Amino acid sequence: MTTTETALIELHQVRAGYDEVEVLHGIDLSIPVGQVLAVLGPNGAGKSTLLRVLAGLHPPTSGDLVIGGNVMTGADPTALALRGLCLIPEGRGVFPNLTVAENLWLLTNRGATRRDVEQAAFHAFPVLRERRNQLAGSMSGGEQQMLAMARAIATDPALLLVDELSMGLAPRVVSQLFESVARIGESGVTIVVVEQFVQTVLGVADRAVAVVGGRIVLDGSPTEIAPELHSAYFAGNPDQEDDR
Amino acid sequence: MRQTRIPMRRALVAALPLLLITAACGHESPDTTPKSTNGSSEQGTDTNAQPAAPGEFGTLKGVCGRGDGKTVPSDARGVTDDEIQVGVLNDATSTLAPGLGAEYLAVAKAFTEWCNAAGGINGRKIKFVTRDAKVTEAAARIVDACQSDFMLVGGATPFDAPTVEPREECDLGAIPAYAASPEATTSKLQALPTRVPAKQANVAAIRLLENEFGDAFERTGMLAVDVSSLLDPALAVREALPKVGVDIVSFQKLPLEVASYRTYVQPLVGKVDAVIPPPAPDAGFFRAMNDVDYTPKVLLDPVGNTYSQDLAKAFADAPVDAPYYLASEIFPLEMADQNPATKLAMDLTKKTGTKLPIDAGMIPAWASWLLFARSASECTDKLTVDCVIEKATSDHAYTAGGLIAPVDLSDPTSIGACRVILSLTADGFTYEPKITKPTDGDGVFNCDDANVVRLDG
Amino acid sequence: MNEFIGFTVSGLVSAGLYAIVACGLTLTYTTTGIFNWAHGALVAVGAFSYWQFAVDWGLPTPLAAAICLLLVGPLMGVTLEAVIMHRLEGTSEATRMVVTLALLLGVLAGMNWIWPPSQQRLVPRIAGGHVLTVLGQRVPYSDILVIATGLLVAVGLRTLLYRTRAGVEMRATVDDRTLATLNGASPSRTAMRSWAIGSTLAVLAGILIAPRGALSATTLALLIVNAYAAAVIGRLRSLPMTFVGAVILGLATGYAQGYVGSRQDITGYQYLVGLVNVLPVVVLFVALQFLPQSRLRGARVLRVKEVSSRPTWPGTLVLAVSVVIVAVAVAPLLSPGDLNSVTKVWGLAIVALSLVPLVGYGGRLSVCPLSFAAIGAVVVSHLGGSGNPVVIIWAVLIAAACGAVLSLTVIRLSGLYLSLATAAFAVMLDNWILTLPKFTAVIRVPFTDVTLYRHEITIFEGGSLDVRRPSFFGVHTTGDHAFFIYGAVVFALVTLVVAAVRRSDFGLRLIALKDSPVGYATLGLNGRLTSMAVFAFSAGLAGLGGAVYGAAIQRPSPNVFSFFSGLSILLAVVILGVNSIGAAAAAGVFVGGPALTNLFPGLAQLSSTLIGTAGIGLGDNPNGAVPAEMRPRWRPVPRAPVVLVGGLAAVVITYFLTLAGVLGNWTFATVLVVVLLAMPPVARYVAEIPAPRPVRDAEADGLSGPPELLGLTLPVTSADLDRVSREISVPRPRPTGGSHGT
Repeated sequence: MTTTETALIELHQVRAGYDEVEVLHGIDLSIPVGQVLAVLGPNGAGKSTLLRVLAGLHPPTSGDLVIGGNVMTGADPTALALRGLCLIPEGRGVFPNLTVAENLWLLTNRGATRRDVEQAAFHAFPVLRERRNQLAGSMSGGEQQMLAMARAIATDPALLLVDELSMGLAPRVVSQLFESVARIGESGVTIVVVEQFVQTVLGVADRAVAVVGGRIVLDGSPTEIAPELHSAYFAGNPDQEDDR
Repeated sequence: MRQTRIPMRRALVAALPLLLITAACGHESPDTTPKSTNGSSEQGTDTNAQPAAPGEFGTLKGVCGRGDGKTVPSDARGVTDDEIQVGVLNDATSTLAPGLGAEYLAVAKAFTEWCNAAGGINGRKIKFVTRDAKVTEAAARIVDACQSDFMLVGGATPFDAPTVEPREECDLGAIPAYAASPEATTSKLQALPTRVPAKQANVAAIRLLENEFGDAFERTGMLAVDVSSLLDPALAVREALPKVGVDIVSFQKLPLEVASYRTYVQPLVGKVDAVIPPPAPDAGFFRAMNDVDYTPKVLLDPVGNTYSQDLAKAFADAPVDAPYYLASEIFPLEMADQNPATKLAMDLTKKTGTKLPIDAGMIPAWASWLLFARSASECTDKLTVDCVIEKATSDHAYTAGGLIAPVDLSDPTSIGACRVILSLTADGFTYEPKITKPTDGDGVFNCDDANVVRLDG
Repeated sequence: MNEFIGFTVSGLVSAGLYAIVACGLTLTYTTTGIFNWAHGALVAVGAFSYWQFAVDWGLPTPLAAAICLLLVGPLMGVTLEAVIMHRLEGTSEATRMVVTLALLLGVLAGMNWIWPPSQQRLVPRIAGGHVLTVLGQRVPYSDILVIATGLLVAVGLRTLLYRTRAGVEMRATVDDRTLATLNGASPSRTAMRSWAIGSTLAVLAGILIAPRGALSATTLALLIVNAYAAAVIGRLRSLPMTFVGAVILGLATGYAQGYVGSRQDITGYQYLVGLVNVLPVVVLFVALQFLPQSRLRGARVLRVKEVSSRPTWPGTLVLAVSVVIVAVAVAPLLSPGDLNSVTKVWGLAIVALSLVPLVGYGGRLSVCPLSFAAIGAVVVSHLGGSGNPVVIIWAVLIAAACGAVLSLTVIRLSGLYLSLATAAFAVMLDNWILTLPKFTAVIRVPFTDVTLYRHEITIFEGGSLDVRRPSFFGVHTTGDHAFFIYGAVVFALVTLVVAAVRRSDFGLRLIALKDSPVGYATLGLNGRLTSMAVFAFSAGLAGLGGAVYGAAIQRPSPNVFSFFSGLSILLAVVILGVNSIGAAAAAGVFVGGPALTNLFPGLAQLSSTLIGTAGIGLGDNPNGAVPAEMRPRWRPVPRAPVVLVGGLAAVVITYFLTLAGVLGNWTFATVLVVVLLAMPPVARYVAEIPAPRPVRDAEADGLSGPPELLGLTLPVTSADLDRVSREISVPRPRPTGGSHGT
């Protein structure tokens, strides 16, 4: 992916859904290089779907996914992954039946050595070193999420997509995880973070959008949109047209 | 004994689909006939005598012919003025055991061609139809046969217990190649030329080999197959042998499908001197014996289950350095040149162009057909099933023209006394006259009454 | 002592074989998540290919082996993955089992066609039969080779899976395919690699096993069942433990045969001998008991939701009545031989139906329906001397009791482990219990000589049972025609029972338990009791089916109830739809009826191949053909009454003409098929002719379909959304016009 273009990744009028139900009703989004974007919204609004579309895991029913100026709609997610797109999915992106060391070993496919990967991961999350030979599935939720984040740290991605990082975790762990997100952001990586818990992520993000009912209803810097979030979540927008 | 020959062994499955290693061959094997050996001069009739008259089969006269020209009256099912329709039971197109019983169809073709050329049954030609039971549909085939067949001749199916009731109910007579279940053995309207040990057993093999191997018999091991219709005859043998001084120190039940014979051969080492092999072992049995370096003093098949080309091949592949003897009630095919009936049967079967090897397993079918035809030809007053069966079962010493040792057809549970001893080497089967000590004049069989042991069963 | 060494060496030789086979199976499972029931068939392919190259075509042995290992094996694996296995991604355990079983059938049928079993095929000994003498025992080099290879394979695979990145990637792909994709792995490439290695191992096993005796496809394919125990001891995960399991299995079998199986002097010898022959599955059963109940794999999300729709009373009554009507109608058209064959159909259909509550609603993958059927038949045979129908009730009760007892032993198991346990049970029953010789059951007052009860029992006396066809109030069902109708009536009644169960509280519980055992427990419901109950219910039904089936055959032998016959029923039911009562009927007819083999008598392999290919298509349609294909296709028909009546009339008229002899059976069959094929498309066409209906009226009344199916198998319409919005008093979501503001 080239980094000379201003927009690293864009969605043009993307519609997406499952079977007969459409979830995203025409999303336009443009994310510049190096930006940390927070995607907020209530459950069922389509945030995760948005992220999966960005990762190439979910083909849109219409519209385009543009990465680095190239139209990548329908691209193979494996290829995208190998070119530096890193998705940390919802629900602990780890392999539960592999050990921590084995999970990390899988991250060497982009050229890093095993030792480099482990060093980076254990430096960021020292607790993982103690769990090196433990099955990932037997660790606590927070530790699993740290292991998942280690992917982000150790593989030097160009684009990092994080889905519901804080789900089910204690506040202390959450803040530790978001610290690492911030650090990654500072190193120039473009990040898209999907979150339900607004306060934690607003401190980390450069920009935030709110997705309600499959559409982007708010878009601006965190300070700009924070006051309007409440009403956006709960009231919907009563005077819009029925398009069916 | 024919009942426990290869197709039976394969077909009588308790739990598993079957493998057929039988006389039905896909390829034309180069050596499909047993080699003829010259026995001593006491053997059979001279083949250079005049060729048999049409309608004569060995010593059996009046098997087929035009009779006196008049049509014998008959209102039986399956009989018209010109034809008699006969059903042949088999399992040739089954999925479980493809080709099982295919030899019965070959024999049926050979016999009916010969018989019809000689004039048929008092002028009526025999038309045979296949009744393919596919192993599991025997009863249905009987019901089919009950619509249009006069009798069932020269065929058989391993699971024949369900056939008895429908057959008796519709008065369908039978002269089968073998009867597998006890129900079938003692069923009505039937003549049975081929028997298995049940209430009686033939121990000629033991008696004739006693002198040489008496010591070995004190440590005898039997291997049987754990399927009831193969196991029951083996149990009868097990009960009979001790009555003639055999000590069975080991009796093993093998599953129908044996992946590795070694498990069953290992326990014989150092414990067993005389081995009675399972019916139709394959080469693996002998290879296993080689593997564990086990050489018994003698291998013995008192029933004759193993008299087949496949076994000869198996033995030749991994020969065991021990004498192998079997007792059979079939005139040895290797000496066909000295027995017109055997030679005729083999030639006629070969003439049909069948790719199946001409094996001892076909002889029971021949015996059935000959019995049927001779008996039916004798019914000159009226041709009915009852008449045919009555004529058939009145023969107390039936030899099928010399194909087999005499058998008393009036009692389906009786076992004939006459046996011939053959040895097996890497070169094939050989008649052993010195061991057999034939008692029937210039014949080959030993017919001492003491050969038959009665069981309490 | 010599004896002991002899048995030990023999046992180790078997162990080597088990090890290679079991390791291949474990490898495939660990790296693809699929337990390949057809693994043995691949072993057989290896053996026969080796024979083909080395013996039939006379190539030098090393070359033949090389071709098999480097070409045949990998090619076979890659083909399997590309054609079949990749469709199994995200499917349930039942679907996977059925597909791999179908593959087993298909491969065996193909092999029997290419290499007809009537010919004896021998492969030359490896190393020409030379031997080594160890501790006074002769051990052929070929056997040493087998043991050494077994060990090497176990060690090598372990290294592959745990010490190489490729191996870790394989295991990761099984854990979470999507995540593996995100990590840059290509799951399809990984899967191909896994299958190629697994198949090559199978071929290797085939080459090593081949010299043991004459080649037999069926024996080799089924040899694998014995190796399951070794794989299970290795927890389907640890290859060294699999090797240890193989050693345990081999030694156990060797010692058992040596010290028990060949001896006559042990008390109760005649009952133990059969046990020795089924020792491998006994070991399997025992091993499953001691397995820690670990999760087999991480949470797997099923790709296609398996739906169990609720049978309606009208629908079920129509089915039940139609079944009887069709039976009455068809009977006179059949030839006596066919009629005799076809009496078996209803018993098998009832057995098939017994799988619906257990495997379908309850999600308990039990593979031994015919075992309980056998129990039912045995009971009826022993108790029902003169066709007394009351014994059928006993058959049901006793079979149910056996089912309850079995369920206790497998209560902790689920999915694959449950299917293995029930398979072990079925084989034990087939090969040991049903073939037990006569024994005497004696009940004595303890410490005295007083005998309370003494009964001689032979389960399958003389090789076959004697099952009388029952008579009711003077009506005898001894004739085939009468029995056929009787069977149809019984089946119809059973369908009503099963529908009632599904609609009852119990039915709801079953489905809830299947969906979420954890959730079930949190409701305060006892999952184990429910499990036991459904097992018992299913076993009772199967016992009833066995009683009817046994009476159809009248003199059934044990092979009629064999494990593998039971598998065909399972296959047919799952392929047609294990949640659907109608499908069970169809399955029984398919497996029990003579139609297929009579239509194509020369192509006996065809039905096996058909089942095989149909099963393979199951991956796309795990709900089964009936719900997924037939029902949707037929949905328009009731909406076009003209077509329905017209079609029925055509069939009825043709029927009576056939009965009168004017038309032949084939003509009738053809007309029937044509009408059945034509009705759906014609109905669809007719129904779409616009009949003026106010759209609003139709939709205002309610939803366009059952709510649980909207969005799943039925489209969500605008009216549906309106209705829902009204119901929950929430305004429908509006689109963003691009402008904010109130």
